[in-house]
Amino acid sequence: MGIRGRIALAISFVTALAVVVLGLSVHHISAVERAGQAQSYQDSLLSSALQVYQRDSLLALGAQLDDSTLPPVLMEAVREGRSGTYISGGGDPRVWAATEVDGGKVLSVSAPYPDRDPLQRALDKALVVAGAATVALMAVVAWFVAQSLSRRLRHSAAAARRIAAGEPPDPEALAAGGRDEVAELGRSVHHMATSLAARVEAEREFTADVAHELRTPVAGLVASAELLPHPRAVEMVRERAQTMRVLVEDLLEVSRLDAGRERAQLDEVELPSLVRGIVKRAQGQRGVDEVSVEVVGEGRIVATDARRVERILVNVLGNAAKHGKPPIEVLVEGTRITVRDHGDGYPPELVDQGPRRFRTAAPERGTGHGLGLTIAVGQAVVLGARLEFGSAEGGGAQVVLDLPEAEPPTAEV
Amino acid sequence: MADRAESRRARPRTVVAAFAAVTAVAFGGVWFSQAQDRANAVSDAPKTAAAQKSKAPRAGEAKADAAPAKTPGVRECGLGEPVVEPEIITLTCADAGMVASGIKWAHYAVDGAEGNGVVQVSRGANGAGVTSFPARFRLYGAKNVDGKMAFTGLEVDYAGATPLGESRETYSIA
Repeated sequence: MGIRGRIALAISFVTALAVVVLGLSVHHISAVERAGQAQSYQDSLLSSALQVYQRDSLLALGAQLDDSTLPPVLMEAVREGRSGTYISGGGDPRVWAATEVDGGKVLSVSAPYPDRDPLQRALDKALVVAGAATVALMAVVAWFVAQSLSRRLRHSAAAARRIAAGEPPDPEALAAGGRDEVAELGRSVHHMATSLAARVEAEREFTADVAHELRTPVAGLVASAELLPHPRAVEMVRERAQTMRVLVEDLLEVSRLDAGRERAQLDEVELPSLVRGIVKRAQGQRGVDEVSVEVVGEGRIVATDARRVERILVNVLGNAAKHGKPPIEVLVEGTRITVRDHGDGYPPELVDQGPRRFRTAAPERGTGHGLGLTIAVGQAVVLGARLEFGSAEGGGAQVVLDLPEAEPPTAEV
Repeated sequence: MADRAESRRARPRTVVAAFAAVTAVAFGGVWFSQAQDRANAVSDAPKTAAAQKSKAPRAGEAKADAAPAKTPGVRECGLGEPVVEPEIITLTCADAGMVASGIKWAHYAVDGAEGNGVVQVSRGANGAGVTSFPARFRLYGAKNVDGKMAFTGLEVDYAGATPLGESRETYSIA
């Protein structure tokens, strides 16, 4: 149940509770008042009857002497010298008043006191109707109040989702006026989104600037290494320079993916053939070796960008070769490609939050820049594919790349 | 951390709310039970107790000594000695079902008397029905009855509701 329903239900429940408590109280108070009035009136009648009896020895106003039906508890009170009133129950409920007169006799008056008083019943009926109407009215009002609150929250949530999807913060959607908690939440989200967007932009610019600034000196370094006289020194400098060049290229690619300027060039390809070709080309690079490819079922045709799929798989295979343990297995099933190794698996932070650049934080998976998997994730986003990192059954890291289905061919007329 | 701190702060509030609810229910229960006890117990009858303390004088005794001999009285149902400035007069002597009581006399003389009080009817209480009717009383027709001055008629003017449907009733009381 959403917050709207909960608020409406809570207000309706509290209203119903208040109505019930109020109704019971009013019913009880009116019953007590009715009893008090009846007893007071009998007291008044008995008072007059007593005066008449004392003056004229006459039984007035229906008074009786030594009534045998007088309740024992009232009789006992009168014998103790009290003048009292009493409401008796049973099959014939009555309200009594009694007092002692000369000679030890008991003078009493009584009147019927029905349990079901018409006025009391009318009051109860009015209370039930008014209570039900109040609860229904409050339920409607609560629904509309909750609707308003929920609409503003959903508005803020939608604005937050748009920010998460990469759109710029919408000040009108989030920084709405008002002093209540919802407006405060919207303003806080807006400030947070603005702050985060600024930080992300700064990080993106930094990455792009670093890559751009490094590219030229690294290229010069590679060229200069060719001129060194000692063969071993040439080999070492060339190797380091190549590593730096790969790093710079990766940074540039990350920067382009961050900027959202990458667009996929979709072509229909047969997935098993594509994967086999990619694996074949990858073997021997980045330490990739002993990779088996298994295809389950018939090979599917997918509309995808083969170059970007290759980029993803090569990076994943390179990561498995570098940080995992052989054998590396590739399974193609429908539009899904699963790559697993037999190492110690990904660290939990990577599985939960995804790869982050320059953060491997996984001694068990060796050292690295964390750019390869970051690029794989970015390329998967460009392809509209789903890339998940997890643990394989029996241990080892597992990556699942789920490519989107190809558009069905348009039927010819 | 913030959420946990919030939940820790919310716990005492929940306890206070639960305590308040239980206390309210307990007080309500006590109130109801006491009210029930009161209903099942013998209550005081203060008006009757007051009438007991100030016993009405026997017919002929009341203010007979204090009042001048020529001041007329009221003979209850035409019997006994006249009572001067009676606080209570039986209106229907056949069954004594209607009584004028609590009469406060504003004027009481030979030429007549006027006062206010209520007419009580013994037809049943039912807890809510009006059976006590405020009225204005006027005594008239003073004459010598059996050697004593007594009023012979009583006029009752009801201020609001009436027991028999007539706003004015007259009774022969001598």
